[in-house]
Amino acid sequence: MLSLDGLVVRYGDTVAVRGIDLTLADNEIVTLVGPTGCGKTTVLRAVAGLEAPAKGCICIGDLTIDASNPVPPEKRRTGLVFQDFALFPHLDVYRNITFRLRDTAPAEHWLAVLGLGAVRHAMPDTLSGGQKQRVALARSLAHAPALMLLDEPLSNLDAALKTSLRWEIRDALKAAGVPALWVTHDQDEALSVGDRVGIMRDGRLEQVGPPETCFRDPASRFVAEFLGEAAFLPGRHAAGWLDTALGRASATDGPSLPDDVDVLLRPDDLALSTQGDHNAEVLNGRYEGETRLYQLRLNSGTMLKARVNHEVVLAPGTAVHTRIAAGHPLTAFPRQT
Amino acid sequence: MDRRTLLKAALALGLGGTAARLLAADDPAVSVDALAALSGKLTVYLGHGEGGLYTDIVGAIRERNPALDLSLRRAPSSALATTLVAEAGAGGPRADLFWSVDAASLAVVNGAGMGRRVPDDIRGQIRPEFRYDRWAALSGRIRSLPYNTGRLSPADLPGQIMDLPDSDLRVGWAPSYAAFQTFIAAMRLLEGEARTRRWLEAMKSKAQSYAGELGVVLATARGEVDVGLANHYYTLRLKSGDPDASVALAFTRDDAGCLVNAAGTALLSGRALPADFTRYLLTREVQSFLAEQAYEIPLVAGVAPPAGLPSMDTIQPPELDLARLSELKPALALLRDTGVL
Amino acid sequence: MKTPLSYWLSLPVAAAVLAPLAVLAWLGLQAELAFDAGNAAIVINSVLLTMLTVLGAILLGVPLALATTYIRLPGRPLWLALLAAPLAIPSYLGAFAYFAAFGPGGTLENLTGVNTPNLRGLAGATLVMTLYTYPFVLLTTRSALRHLNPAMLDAARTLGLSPGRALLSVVLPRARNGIAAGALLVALYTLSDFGTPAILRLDTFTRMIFVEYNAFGLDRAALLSLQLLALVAVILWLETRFGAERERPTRTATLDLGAGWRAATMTAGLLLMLAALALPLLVFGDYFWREGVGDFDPILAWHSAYAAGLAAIVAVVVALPVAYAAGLGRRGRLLERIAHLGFGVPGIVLATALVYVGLQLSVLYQTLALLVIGYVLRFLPLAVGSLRTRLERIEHHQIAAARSLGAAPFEAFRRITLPLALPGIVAGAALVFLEAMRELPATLLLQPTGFETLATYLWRVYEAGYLGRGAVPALLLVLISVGALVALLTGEERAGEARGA
Repeated sequence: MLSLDGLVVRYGDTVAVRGIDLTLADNEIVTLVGPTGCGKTTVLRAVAGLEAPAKGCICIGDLTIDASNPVPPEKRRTGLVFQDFALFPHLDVYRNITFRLRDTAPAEHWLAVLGLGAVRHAMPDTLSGGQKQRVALARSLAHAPALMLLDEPLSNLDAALKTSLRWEIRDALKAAGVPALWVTHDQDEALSVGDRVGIMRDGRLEQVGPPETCFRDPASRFVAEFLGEAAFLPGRHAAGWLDTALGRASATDGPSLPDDVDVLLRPDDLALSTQGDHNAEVLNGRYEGETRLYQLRLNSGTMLKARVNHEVVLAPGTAVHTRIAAGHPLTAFPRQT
Repeated sequence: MDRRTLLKAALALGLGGTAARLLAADDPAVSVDALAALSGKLTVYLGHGEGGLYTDIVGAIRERNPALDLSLRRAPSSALATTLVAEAGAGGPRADLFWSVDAASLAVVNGAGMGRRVPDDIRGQIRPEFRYDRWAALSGRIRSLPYNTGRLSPADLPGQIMDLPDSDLRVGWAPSYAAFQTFIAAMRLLEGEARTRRWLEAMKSKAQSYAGELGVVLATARGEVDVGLANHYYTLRLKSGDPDASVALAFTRDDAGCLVNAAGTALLSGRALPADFTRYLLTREVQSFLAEQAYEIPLVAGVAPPAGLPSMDTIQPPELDLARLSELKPALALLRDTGVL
Repeated sequence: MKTPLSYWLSLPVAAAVLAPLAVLAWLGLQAELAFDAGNAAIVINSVLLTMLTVLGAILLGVPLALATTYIRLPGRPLWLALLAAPLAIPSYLGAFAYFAAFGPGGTLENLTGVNTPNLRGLAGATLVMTLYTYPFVLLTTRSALRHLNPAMLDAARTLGLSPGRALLSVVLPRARNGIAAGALLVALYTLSDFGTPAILRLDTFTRMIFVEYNAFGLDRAALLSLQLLALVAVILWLETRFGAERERPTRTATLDLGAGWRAATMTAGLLLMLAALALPLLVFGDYFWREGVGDFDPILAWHSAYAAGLAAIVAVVVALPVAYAAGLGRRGRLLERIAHLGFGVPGIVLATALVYVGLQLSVLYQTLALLVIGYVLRFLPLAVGSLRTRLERIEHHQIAAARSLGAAPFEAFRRITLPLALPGIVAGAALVFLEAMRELPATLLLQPTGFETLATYLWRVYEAGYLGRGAVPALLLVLISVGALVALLTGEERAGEARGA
């Protein structure tokens, strides 16, 4: 439905997007995540037709867009959802949603689906943030887009609303059956709503893949650190096994590794105990509700984090025993010196 | 009855003032009734000075001639003369008729060759000493010396304008006023550049400046100054409203101080309408109105001069062709040089 | 990248603004006159009037700003509105009133029997200009004071300074930029004002340009215009040097200076209102009482409204692409800056150039079109300004959203930009309308034959000395000006609300 082929976008002399290849299947949601300035929003704007590609091409259905054929936004059938909602303030909810509709049935459908029936004649100014974003979503979906583009749709909403609306939007997109490119800077959001996640850095895609793969088997240290708490423990690689001071684990399939590696450890890959051979010291702990996250310093000096059940209470300075407890293969990177 | 209703009634009934009828002698002025109605488009530049009075005349003519489509542009006469000269240099004047309260402005326009020959029948209606080829004089005004009657008697006044600086009288004048500038232009022509300059320099120290000549006359009546330099009608108008005002008219003899200036029209397009409009201005009714309300001197036979003006026989105006007043610029330069303006 | 349509539409506007300046330069070059004593006197008069007016406006405006900011006056909003009101009255109405009120035979003498001296020349013009421009300083200084951190004042007091000393040594130096900004506005206004020096007979640039124009001196008028523009340019340059630095307002401090100060402030304010507002109303009311409507022809009011209405419509139509382009990029902002120049060109100067243009292009000469062009060039910045503040509030995302829903650029403009900019369009049109109704010097020079307006009628009445006939047009102009003030204040209020929302 959407494919990007070597997409390059420039703003004057600065290159914002440096060659991106990406294909979305019908009905697939891909989240684009990355730090500020990585070019993720630019990709979205280029697909929407708000920026012209300098090189490469964008295919939306039968449309092929490149530098010599810059199809204007209104010809692309893309639905855009912004973080600031971009509702038309002079039109009420219903007239926002039916903006260019001849047949208003889809508007009724989405009003009902998104629970907006009660505010159909309200003016945008009088709505809450969540309602505004539902209206924006209904407006886009009612216009039957070939592709949905969401630009940080949740970042202007408060935390409690974020999670629930996340699922609502995902369900609506799935119900509409349109592919969607969803830009966010929140890795939780990226991992939870995307069928696949694309991690961008400095105008390039570092990795695209299912959320689990990206999280467990990141293609780079950058991806590993960006998607969650990550620590790197020196170890040795031999015949598909990783040996470290904290125990042994199998290595994920991937490019061949040298003998000396750094093993990626997520906090939940470790187990903690006050019993046994004390090989680390608790520096501090953070209560997270169901779990606790402890920062540890191994006797070798390496810093690690471990997440354990909230019932395990350890004062700073406590000597502990820690070991690898993951039941899944771990990812390692060539040793950095 | 205000003066506007009066004029309207007069024009409507075809009646002249009583005085006019009494004095209607050998060659009576034409009545509006004898004139055909005006129709068509006419653009008039009206160089005013008399404020509402001329507007009243235009209003009455408009009312009598509904088919006349009259556009009026009003500004000081010198400004309109400038405008006309500029227009002549850029495709020709945009007005059919220039009606000015000051002969100097008409002379300027004619100096640029704009005024057309005045038809003989119009010239024939005007008093012989005011007949000009290229403009039609409509009403006269005389330079005068209004004096404070509480302080002075006529004998205290110099008989010659050039002697005024030698007296110890306090004088009021209005140098930025067009009538005054025309008076200086006349003095320059009659007495020469050098004498005029000396006169201005000598006067400057003893003269009090006013914005307009009505102000000069008011100041004279109050006794702020002993004597003023002003057109005659301001004094007559003041006296008509306040007969006890301590001001009276005096005239010098045979010099610029008693110059007779005239308001008039220059025909700028060859059409008949501007001439016909001028004929209306020369009717008994309009001339009577000018004499009775504006205290100007009517220039057609059979209409009496304004009440309170000494008989014209007793006044000896200088011999000066008003057409020569087009030499206004050197006079203005003199006024600027001496710091009077 | 493709040049946006609004650039192409703005380009001729910018050219039209620059054209009169080019014409003046060309005419001025042809003048055979060198700088002489007369010219020097004009410069001195203009500069003196400007400096004295600025001084007067500061002496009135700054204490009033301090008083209205820090002293708890009963009915403070009303006081503020009243003290700002003189700004809304064109100064030539004030000049006309003072001309008529003072001196022998003036209204004051007629009503009270007390002899008053004539108010003419430098003294009279300074008095009138000060009375009608001090609100510039009052408003900018107040705005600066309100942006000052009041804790500073509190700190000064706790360090042992008396309230008066604290104001002088702590507050005023910080409000310097605000005062300077107001003073420069006063200077600009005074240099451009035609009516006041003309009516009170002070030979400033504006009056002498008019005199020269009327006395065969178009080239000399152009030369004087260029000199005046040079002075204006200096003021505008100074203005760019005083960018107001703002501190976050937290709360406004109040000083309890005691009942004495309150009473003194209110007495001073009352006297000022008597001089600036009550006296003109008294003069015009007295004339109206004595002469009634007279032969006032209501067509004049229609002429004024008609020409001003056309100017308002044309101005917003022309302003739309300029304001739009200004939001697009650097070249657009340059075009907007150029369009802004018209505001610095005094009406008499602009008109002098346009009369010459008219003489060369006879289709335009003495037409309503040329008058409307004059108004538009002069007041375009008002329309552009109010449109820009509106357009700036439209998010690019709203346009992008409309486009992505399938709306072509024009449809997006028609259905989103235009309706959202509508309040700005209306406000801009109203401002241009009201300013054009009151405009005097350009109207005097550019009015079509037979097309007299309220302002030109008032001027002619003054020139002819029949002041009584000026009552109705003057009162109508005051009414219009009050309308302008109300429209401006409520517009600002609404804008404030919208920003707060």
